[in-house]
Amino acid sequence: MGNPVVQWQIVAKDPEAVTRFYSALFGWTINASNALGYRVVETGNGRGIDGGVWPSPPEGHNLVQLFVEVDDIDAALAKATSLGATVIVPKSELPDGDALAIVLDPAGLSFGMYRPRQ
Amino acid sequence: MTFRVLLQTEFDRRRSANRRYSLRAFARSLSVDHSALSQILRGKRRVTVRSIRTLGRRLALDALAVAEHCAAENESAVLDAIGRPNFRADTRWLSTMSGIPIDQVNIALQRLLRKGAIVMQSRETWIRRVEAERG
Repeated sequence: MGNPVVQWQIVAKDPEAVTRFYSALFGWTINASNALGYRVVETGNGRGIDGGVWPSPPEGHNLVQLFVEVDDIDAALAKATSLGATVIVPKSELPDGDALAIVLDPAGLSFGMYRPRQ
Repeated sequence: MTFRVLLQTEFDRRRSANRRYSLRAFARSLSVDHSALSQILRGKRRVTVRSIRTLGRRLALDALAVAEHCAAENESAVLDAIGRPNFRADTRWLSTMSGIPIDQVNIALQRLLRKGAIVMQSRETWIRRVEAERG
């Protein structure tokens, strides 16, 4: 397989307001019935990708991240760091079985490495 | 510095300027009950985010400092909950146990992960760093 971009994520100081805005603008539906209370955003069309909204800490700011699916997060992290990236959230196994890590690329842009539940 | 240490430091500073400055006087200046303040200083009572906002204003802390102290207290409460024997790897459970809103729990988790203070080892096991190092 390749490494597709499988999800976008808005990290927001006020996630509730952001969610309301996009929901009102595009009719996107939000589902937070999961163990993390994560706001999964469904765009309602077979094309494109769905996303999510996550709260930003007080020292953070509003931003958008992309999540790239990989087979092996540990291997992908090792390769990313060898290419100059910095790991900011190490590999974490989420309650629903997915796993992710957050990385800063050499230009300072953050993105996620994602492995779906197995 | 935790908010409790900040309070203690401020109390000590005032006492060093005036040896007769009492805990009651400190509590009065902050408009809080002196026994509650005493419990906070002795680590017998958790400082709530609401208290931090109120006391932070009275201590003339800036908004970012108050937000940082609130986040640190939330981290501490989440860490305590993760250490409970009946822990469930579920933000909603953590929110119920700690009395912290779900978004704030997730911010605390995010900060703890970034610091390496917790590890999400499997879908059901989140461990505090000290426990992780013990193996």
